[in-house]
Amino acid sequence: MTPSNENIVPLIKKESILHMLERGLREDGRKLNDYRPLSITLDYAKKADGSALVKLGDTAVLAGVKVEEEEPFEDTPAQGNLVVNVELLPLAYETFEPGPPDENAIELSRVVDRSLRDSKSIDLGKLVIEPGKRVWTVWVDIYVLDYGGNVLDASTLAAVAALYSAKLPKVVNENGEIKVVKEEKGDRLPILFPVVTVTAAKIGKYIVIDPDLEEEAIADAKLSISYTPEGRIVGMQKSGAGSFSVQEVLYIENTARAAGLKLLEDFKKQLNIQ
Amino acid sequence: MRKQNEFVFPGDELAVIEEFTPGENTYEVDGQVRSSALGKVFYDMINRRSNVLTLKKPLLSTLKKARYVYGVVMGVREDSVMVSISSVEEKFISPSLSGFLHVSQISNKFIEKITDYVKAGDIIRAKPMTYYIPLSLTIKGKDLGVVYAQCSICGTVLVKQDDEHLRCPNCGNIERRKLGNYMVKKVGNQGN
Amino acid sequence: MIQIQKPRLILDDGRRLDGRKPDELRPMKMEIGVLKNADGSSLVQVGNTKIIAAVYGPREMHPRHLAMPNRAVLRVRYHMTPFSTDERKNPAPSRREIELSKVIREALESIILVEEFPRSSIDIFMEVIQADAGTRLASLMAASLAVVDAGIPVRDLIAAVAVGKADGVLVLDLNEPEDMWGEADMPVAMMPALGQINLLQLNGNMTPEEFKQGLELAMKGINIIYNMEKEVLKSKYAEYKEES
Repeated sequence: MTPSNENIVPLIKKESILHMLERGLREDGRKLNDYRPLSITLDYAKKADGSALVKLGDTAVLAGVKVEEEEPFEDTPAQGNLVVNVELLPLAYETFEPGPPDENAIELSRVVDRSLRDSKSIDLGKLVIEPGKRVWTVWVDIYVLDYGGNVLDASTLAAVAALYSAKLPKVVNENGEIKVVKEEKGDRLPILFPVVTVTAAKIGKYIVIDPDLEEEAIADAKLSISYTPEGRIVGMQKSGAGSFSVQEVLYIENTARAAGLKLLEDFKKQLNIQ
Repeated sequence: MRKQNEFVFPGDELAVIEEFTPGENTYEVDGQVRSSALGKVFYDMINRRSNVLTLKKPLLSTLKKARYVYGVVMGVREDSVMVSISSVEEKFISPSLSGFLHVSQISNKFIEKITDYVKAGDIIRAKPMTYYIPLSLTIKGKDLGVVYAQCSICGTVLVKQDDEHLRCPNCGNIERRKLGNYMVKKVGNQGN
Repeated sequence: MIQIQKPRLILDDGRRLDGRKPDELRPMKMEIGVLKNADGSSLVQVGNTKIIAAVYGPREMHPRHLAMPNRAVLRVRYHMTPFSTDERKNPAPSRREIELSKVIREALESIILVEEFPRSSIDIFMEVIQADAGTRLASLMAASLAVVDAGIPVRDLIAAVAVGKADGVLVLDLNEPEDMWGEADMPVAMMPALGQINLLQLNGNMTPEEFKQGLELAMKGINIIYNMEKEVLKSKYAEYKEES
């Protein structure tokens, strides 16, 4: 159903925000293509196999990874499984309510899931304990703690960071018998490279990268694009009731790619990975 | 500009805003007037408006041409009456539409008590004055007003006594209303 | 049955598994006004994908507190019948269906002149009868035709097609094996007269250059589909005219 305008303040401010955009400025002092400051805290939840708290401006997202032993699916006997779920917690925003995930949470989950899966950044083939019999299922649960705009990009960042911090339980081979020692940590998760999602919002005729909550509230439409470090596109999602011209889409792809590659550098530096 | 009567699709450009203002079934974007429907262009040269004439319209858009609607009075407030409209002329509609009747649209006379004119449960014939939900209605016209009512004491269908009064054939109770083309003229098979 | 081995998607002669060239569309059939009760309806077939769509409204919004004072509310449901797929699909709405209902609704928001019907709702339902790749776009087109059939004012029509990558080749209008085994799937929907993109997704893997070429290929397909839609609408209009 069409969402109702819950917060009317940004609508009242729309004119002044547009005025600033015309001069190439944003309320928080950023330029149109600037990302908000990113901070990542790894292993924030110690009982998880891997976790990361990501702060992107006012947005805070916590991702936790849990690994479980399971039988493989019939059609993919030599592959582990990846399950991504995003929860928009009631503690994150005034209008969020407890209950099953709504369409926004489901869309977020599915976009993050596709970016991770389609980029093949996780080597699912390496998540096998015994081929055809036992594999690892990697559960990535993403909890939005503070809803400050652009939770999609923050969710992808949190998921990837948590996956990088995650370790599988130890697997030992005792005289040909493969055993899982749950109490001990073993190998790192087979994650090959990081992936980022970059969201651009269209406000009037202006395009801004990494919209904050107010900008999102007055945006006509958003386009989110996921990138690998090579600059390959590994996911795309348009959302919102508005539309884009072809030129706008091509402009966003260029701008988002530049922002994405910069974001990846920052991400790698913070996680200390190559 | 297109040819008069040319067939157009939604999105087709009809004129620039300086030539013609947007009329029926059109909209404006970036200074251009475009069609919002399937139909034939009609440029109104006198008013300088471009219109698209269509064959099929949503119900809410047909209300402008409706001469009257029928509805049930759902409640009477101090200065207005809530009406649930269930037919446009003789065409039954579902779900019903909300309407209201302001005290000033009931009669030309001074009204002391609304319930002397309409009561909850009455069926009225009214004319819509606005075309957005809830519809603002009037029953000021000669053939507009209550067309069907039940006795507020015993529930029997009332019959017309004179231009302003209804009589209960069962208990003899007399009630006042603003009457339209009141339907029940004789006792029929009710009561006596 | 689920095929475990990926087949070759592009054959030696450069053609696809269903005999099409990479830039060729599947056969398409559109019908308008197929249901009696709905205010507007349509049936769209793209290859073996078959969708039926219906529109009710604009009508009074129930429950009333959900109505919006300045516009109509759109309620959109994309749903797959249990028998539309190889394996029976659970009729309860899946996460995929919930996401697609949202994406389709947002695309429809951009064409429907919702401001003309304050406090009302427009309910749009799409049922997938046969699923064989491209159901979201066929559903979106079916919905847009049903909306036009209902006489609801719109900014433009919607024409849509997916572009994908199969064995490294950019292909137009994916078929089921390409959807399943291809390297990328990019559904694109446009408002053709206004040149605006109102649905764009991508799953899979493309270089920016491939994306650019893919978008051009999609626009080529969209143009053909747009002309087909106009033909269908024109003949339907003639039919209405005879009736009235």
